[in-house]
Amino acid sequence: MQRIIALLKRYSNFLYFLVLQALCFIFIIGNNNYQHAKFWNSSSAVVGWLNEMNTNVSDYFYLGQANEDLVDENALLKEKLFGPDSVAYLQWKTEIDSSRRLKFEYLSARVINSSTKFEKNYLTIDIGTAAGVNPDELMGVVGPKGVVGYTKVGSSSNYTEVVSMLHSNFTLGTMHEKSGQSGTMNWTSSDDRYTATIIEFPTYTDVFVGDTIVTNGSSGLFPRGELVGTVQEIEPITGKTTNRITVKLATDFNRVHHVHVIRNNQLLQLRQLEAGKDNVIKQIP
Amino acid sequence: MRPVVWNILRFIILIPFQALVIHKIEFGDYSSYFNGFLYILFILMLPYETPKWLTLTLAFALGISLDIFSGTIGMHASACVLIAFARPRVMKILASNDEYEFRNKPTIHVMGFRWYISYAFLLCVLHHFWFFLVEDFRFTEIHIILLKTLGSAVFTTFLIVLTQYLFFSRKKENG
Repeated sequence: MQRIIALLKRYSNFLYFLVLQALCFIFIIGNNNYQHAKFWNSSSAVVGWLNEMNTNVSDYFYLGQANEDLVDENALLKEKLFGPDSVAYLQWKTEIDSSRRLKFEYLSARVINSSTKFEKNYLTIDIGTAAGVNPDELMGVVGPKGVVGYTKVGSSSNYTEVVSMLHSNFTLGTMHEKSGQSGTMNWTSSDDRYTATIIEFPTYTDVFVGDTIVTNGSSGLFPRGELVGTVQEIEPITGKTTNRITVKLATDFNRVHHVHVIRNNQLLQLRQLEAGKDNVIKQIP
Repeated sequence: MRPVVWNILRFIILIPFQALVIHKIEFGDYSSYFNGFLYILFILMLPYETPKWLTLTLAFALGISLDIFSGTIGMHASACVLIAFARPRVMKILASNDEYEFRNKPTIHVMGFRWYISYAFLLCVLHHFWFFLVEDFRFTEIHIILLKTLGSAVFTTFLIVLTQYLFFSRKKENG
């Protein structure tokens, strides 16, 4: 017995080291599973406040760029609204449902912290549950140029953490705009901060460099047709009937200052329907 | 002032400085290969006589604080705890190479340039390698991890040595 105690004493520091490492890995693995990430993120009050102070200063340096982006976006929206195809009407038809309730709402937010150089990159934005961000569901986030990412669960009342597209776990249902062919997009290890990859895209669809890739709206986080990027490279995979498509992202992640969080007012219905519950009817007010 | 106060101050200053300034340093398209992690200076500068359990606890607290900022919960903490554990061993290895006295303050002025730069570089390599490995979680990309480790370790060591000369003078007590 005494020997065991002596042994424990001798290796007590090593044991303590192992305990701390185990704790770290519990956190790491827990954080990969977004359900457990609720309490540990940069949306916590103190960190959010510090980041906001920092952004209050640095925002002035980007005012010109941010303005330009917003003006561009306005121009695009006007074009859509009054253009010859009158896309506004089509959008109105698809996005307003029969009960005349708006399906997708856009909450505007400011980016107060972001990273682009790690394997798992995040952004922090300055709105939270108080502004209508749902802390229990993922919500799509778009910038002036295109898709940015989606919110992490567990936002605080005034801050929300956003999983950037530049994140090794990021997945997005996308669509080749011309043909309507869907494909799943990931941020793979061969991608840099300007690109993402659709790993399996069927060869029977004609794709050309420069074609537009948009969201397919399958997850319910984004409406169908939000801009994602353009095709940069098409790489056939030997022995398979699929191509690997590198997409040049529309959003420049070093220059995202203003974003919109997309609230899908029918997400609950979608989830319940997909889960096979038959009480959907009762949920409609 | 007492060393305890200086160490607490260093902790409080280094974390926001790392998260709000060093993390934002960019080298164009090569940014991911040159990540500075100046905050580990806190562990490097702990007095030699700090009990091991305390060093480990402080390293864990340091890592977790930065993790909360950068949304990487556990990763920085894991790497910090590793170098806190390895620090006495690294010091011993360096001791056999040099004439070396145990002194309480591991700063560049007390220990000399050559000793300090090998001390800082070894711990940086260890910390960065572990961090990038855990961040990636796969062994298939080992060459990229090694490149990142090397580039970042050189950059961090540069930052640490620079900080030593800028903020820690020979005479002042702030070690």
